[in-house]
Amino acid sequence: MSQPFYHLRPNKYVDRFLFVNCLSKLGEIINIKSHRYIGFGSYLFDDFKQIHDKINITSMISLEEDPIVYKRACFNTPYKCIKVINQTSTDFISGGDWGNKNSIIWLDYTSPAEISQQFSDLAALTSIVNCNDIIRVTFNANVSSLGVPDDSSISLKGYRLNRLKERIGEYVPIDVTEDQITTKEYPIVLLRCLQKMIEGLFIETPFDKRFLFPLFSTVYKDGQTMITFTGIILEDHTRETVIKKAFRELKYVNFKWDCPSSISIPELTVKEIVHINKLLPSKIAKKQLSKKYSFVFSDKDTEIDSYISYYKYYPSFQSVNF
Amino acid sequence: MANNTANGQPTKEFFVEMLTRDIDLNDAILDLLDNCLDGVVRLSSSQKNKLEDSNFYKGYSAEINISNNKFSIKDNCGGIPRDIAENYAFRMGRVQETDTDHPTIGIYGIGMKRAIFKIGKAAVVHTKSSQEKYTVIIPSDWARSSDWTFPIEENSEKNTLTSDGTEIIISPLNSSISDLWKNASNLNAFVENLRKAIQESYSLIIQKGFCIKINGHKVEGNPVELLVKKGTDKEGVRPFVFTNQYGSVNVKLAIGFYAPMASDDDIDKMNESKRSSYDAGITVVCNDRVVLYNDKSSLTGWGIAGVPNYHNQFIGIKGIAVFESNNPKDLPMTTTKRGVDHSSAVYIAVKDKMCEGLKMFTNYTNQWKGRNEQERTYSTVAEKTSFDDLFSEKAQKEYGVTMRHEARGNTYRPALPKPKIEKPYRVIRFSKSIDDIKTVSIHLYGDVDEKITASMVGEKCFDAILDQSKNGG
Repeated sequence: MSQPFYHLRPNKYVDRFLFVNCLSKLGEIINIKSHRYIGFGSYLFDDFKQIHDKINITSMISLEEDPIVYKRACFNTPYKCIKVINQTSTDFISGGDWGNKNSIIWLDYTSPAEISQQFSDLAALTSIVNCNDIIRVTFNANVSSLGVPDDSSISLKGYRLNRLKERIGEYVPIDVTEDQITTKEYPIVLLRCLQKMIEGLFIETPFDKRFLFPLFSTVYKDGQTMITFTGIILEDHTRETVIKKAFRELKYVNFKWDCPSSISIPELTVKEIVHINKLLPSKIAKKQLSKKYSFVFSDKDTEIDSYISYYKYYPSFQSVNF
Repeated sequence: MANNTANGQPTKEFFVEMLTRDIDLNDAILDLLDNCLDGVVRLSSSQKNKLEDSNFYKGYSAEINISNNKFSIKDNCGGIPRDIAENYAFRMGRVQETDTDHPTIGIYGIGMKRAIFKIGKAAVVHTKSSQEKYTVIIPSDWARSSDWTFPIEENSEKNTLTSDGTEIIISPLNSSISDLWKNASNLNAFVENLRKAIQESYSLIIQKGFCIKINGHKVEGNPVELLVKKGTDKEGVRPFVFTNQYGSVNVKLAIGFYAPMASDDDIDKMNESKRSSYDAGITVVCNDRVVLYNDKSSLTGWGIAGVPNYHNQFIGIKGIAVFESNNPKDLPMTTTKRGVDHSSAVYIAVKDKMCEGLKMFTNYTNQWKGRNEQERTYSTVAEKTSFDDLFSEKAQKEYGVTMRHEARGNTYRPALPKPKIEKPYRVIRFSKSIDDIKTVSIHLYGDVDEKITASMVGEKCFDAILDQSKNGG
């Protein structure tokens, strides 16, 4: 199966940037350089490049289940420190000899139909992780992936809630109603399912006080709506304040399970970027942008807010002749 | 004159009624056996280490005799010292200061009394301990009187004990039980059932040398064995092994295969109830006593934390979790010793590890699905090995079981073989009438043969057509 060119997706690009920023902040309080990074690099390795360049991590594992993409990935590894393994994440999690080395794990899932397996992998991961490990997971949060009933007399939302329950029923919180199975709310429903599962797996006992401390979540859409959660395993609650203090300046790191930041920046031309950026940063930017550039921002509130928050990370792609 | 206090004394009827109602008859009898074992532990703990001695119970025995009007159990496990009998052993509930430093099974001090009242109306407890020989009598009208003491008779003629030990004779039986046992086949069925319960619950103890007889027949143990690839090469079918110390509780855990994974035909047989999955699952042991036998539920991690629910394809998976403590109250077992206390902190921590181990083997099973022949080249070279050996010194030298010392305990994760495939496989499943399969089988193989399974017939058909397709035919 061919992979889309992820690096040309501006919102994903910003999301990745927020993650690397978060890691670099964490680096001020924990020795993150000696962590090992485990991800799905495909054959483009965008996340690997950034994490190696900016965080200086030198032990990296990329999981690739497809034997053909695997060969292509091996050919394309940008650095020697990246080891590509031809294995599914399920096999790697249950079989790998994880030892005591700390990890940053990004399970960057794309397929909505396999969410049950994805949740179960994540559950299995919780029994292996060490304190200070960082877990990041991306799910497809496209509500239409839950299908459409054959029988038009059945309510669409009810049908979709039932489909979700067929897949991950044990983790769906009891107060989730079919009214929440909408484009806007479904990503939050998924985050709440994740929270329910994870909290059930980390039961505090005198022998094990570890828990998953949520750092931040993002929703973005370059085509399909995706939701990404990032958290860190802590030994107990004593270090929470230190971490919260370190992140004072990064507003998107809100330590909440179900309040994702929305990244929805429209595709901009170079000329637009140059002109808009000249107005930033400023307190009246929102007003100015909605007045002057209404032809750029279709959904004013979210797109303008999103751009003002993340303009520094917005990529510009150029065509280059080698 | 009016009293200025209200009477809060318990009634004996309430005690007897409440204690006996919540326990199964089998479990009550197992409680009596537990007392025998605790006797051995008290006698021998100073000389032998229960955790390490694989013959700890050798020379000790208990004999149970059951008839339609009498139940008796006789042991040679040391007897009840006189001061213990006078002050503690016959009280309803353990007295605080008697807390022991021994890895016993009994905790609450109600087992013997509960068993006696569950089974019958009256009993005599003969005991011989050191130079003393006496008998405690539980009269049939005890529950109706207001006196909480039991009479003791010295050197009764009926006390025939020759070595230090105890004999409990319960007669007459409670009417509900004697009515049931009047029928000889009912009695036989009960004895058979009890034998199985003992085999399950005491298999470790029997393995460690204890002898139990019911109506003259010895109960054999049912040792836990797992497949282990001998030698120290890294890859091979070996169990997941874990040990840790939680406060006073020492834990050993091993999960692996006891038999090669099931083929599709095996699974069909199980679905048709032709093969049983009785031997699969996880057994939990507290101070040698099995409290959960071959469990396949969420209590032992099935269906939670990313582990699939138990399903017939996992029939080869077996595990054992052993909890040991000198302070039995810290052990994760219920008062009936027939279940785990799943809110216990130790148990929660160990269950995490059970999930981790189970996941390795369910995943292995899923990986190899449809490639049984290839898989058997690995699982058939692994040998059945007693789980004890996995924790012994030779585990590292002879089986390559090298524990990693991790923050949450010492863990060995086997390097299980992985299928080598260039081209991914898919399982094909379909059903056809037995007659049609027979017809095709005769066509392909020339005859009906018991050994030719339906899936062999299906596969041969596929191969024939594949051949034709490749050769343009």
